[in-house]
Amino acid sequence: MHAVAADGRDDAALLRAHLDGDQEAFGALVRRHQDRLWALALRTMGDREEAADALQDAMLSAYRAAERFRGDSAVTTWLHRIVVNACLDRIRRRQVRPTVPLAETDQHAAPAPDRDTALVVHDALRQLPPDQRVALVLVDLQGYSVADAAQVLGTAEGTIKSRCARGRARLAVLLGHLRNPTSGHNVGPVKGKEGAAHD
Amino acid sequence: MTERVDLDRLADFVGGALDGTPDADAVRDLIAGDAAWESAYADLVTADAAVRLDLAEYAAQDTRMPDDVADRLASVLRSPGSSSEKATARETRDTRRPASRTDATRPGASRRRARLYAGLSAVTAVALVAFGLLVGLPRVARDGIKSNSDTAGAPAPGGQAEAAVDTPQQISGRDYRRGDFGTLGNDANAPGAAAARSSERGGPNALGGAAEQPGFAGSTPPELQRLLTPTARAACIQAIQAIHGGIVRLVDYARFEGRPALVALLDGTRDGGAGSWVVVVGPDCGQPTGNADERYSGPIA
Repeated sequence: MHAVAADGRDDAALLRAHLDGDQEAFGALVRRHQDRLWALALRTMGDREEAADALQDAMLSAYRAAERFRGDSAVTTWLHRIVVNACLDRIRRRQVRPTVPLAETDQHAAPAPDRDTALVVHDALRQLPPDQRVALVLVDLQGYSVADAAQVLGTAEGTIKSRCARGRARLAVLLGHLRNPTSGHNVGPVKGKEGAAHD
Repeated sequence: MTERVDLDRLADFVGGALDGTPDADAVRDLIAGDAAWESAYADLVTADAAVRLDLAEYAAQDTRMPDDVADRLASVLRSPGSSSEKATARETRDTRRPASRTDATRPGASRRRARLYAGLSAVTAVALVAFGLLVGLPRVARDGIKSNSDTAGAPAPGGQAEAAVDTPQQISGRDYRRGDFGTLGNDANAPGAAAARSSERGGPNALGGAAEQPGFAGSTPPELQRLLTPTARAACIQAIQAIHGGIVRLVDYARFEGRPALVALLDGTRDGGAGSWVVVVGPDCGQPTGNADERYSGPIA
């Protein structure tokens, strides 16, 4: 399924080679999937620098945890899971950690979308609870099936469906497709509510 | 009697999350018999389709990994134990420039460089522990803080080095709060005293001993049982060090703001520099994905 032009070995073979001491193998594996992993990190974090840091954390974790890969899922699923968890770790830390502004911080803009819609969607996604955001990123943006997303996130398919459905409903409000149902509906304000658990 | 429209429940129905459950029939009945639900359902179906279109447009954006990010990642993976792995985006600021030149010519570079050098990489730390070179690391099994010296250096199942499990541990039963970790520092600095308190008042104790907080009943919370195993604990410590660097001086099976948590005290982290740094992780720390399940990190005081 994946291009193997640069390295004829499949993902599992590259991982085995890494464990056997091939110093190029893990880098080759990452290069093969780097665009999708980057997209996952960027869309989950919503911030270019945070995404780069999360991806670096994730790939270092994968590098070191390779021997614990049990082979009960595709290597790419395993890598996606590690990236998701690294992103969620960072989001949790951001929520609980005292913010210490760095004087030299220079905020790069997160992606440079070509159209207004993309920018608006990007901002709206950042306001979703992380669990819903991750599910939507995997299913609606990365094209994962519900079953595959459930495997990546280690949860039930019904939970993925629920997170996606509720996430879309919140997005509908944020994007102006649905009247804010503050009187009577249970959606609640989502701005600034990142991290609220729903299930 | 009408029932207030619950958008989450309605969304679950629209998204198929209720399929095959009794609640799907209940929601269907509400839509059929309640004008408010019927209207909300129609609105949500229309809005859902619009959101999907927006998401599809957003998904079509170019998200290829930028060259600077790819270069940085490749560099880190070429030497994962080197200081280059600590060059996070926030520290290097402009990742399009080589970190060495950037840091050397910008204000604050020496501070950052000191922080980078202060943090031993996880790999280096693990290796040092494995070879017993960490002078001064308390090994006080008889003093109330358990040190797994019996497993140090022995290969773990799956080939994972168990060096990290040599870290002193305790079950304090405390419920830590952010900004209130001073007692952890005391335990690490004076393990004998901790043991004395433990024996007298059921306070901090070695693994398997009594604990003073209700609900612990003298044992680790069930949620943390997995982390009692040397392999799981080593994986967790590695995950913590992968993020923060440094050396773990003590781990405490405890709680953080009411929830079961492993509280680690580290020295030489990237964030804490020469000071002690606390990292609080949850029960999933070090799961096969190698992530930390982190709940909090900050200075000890």
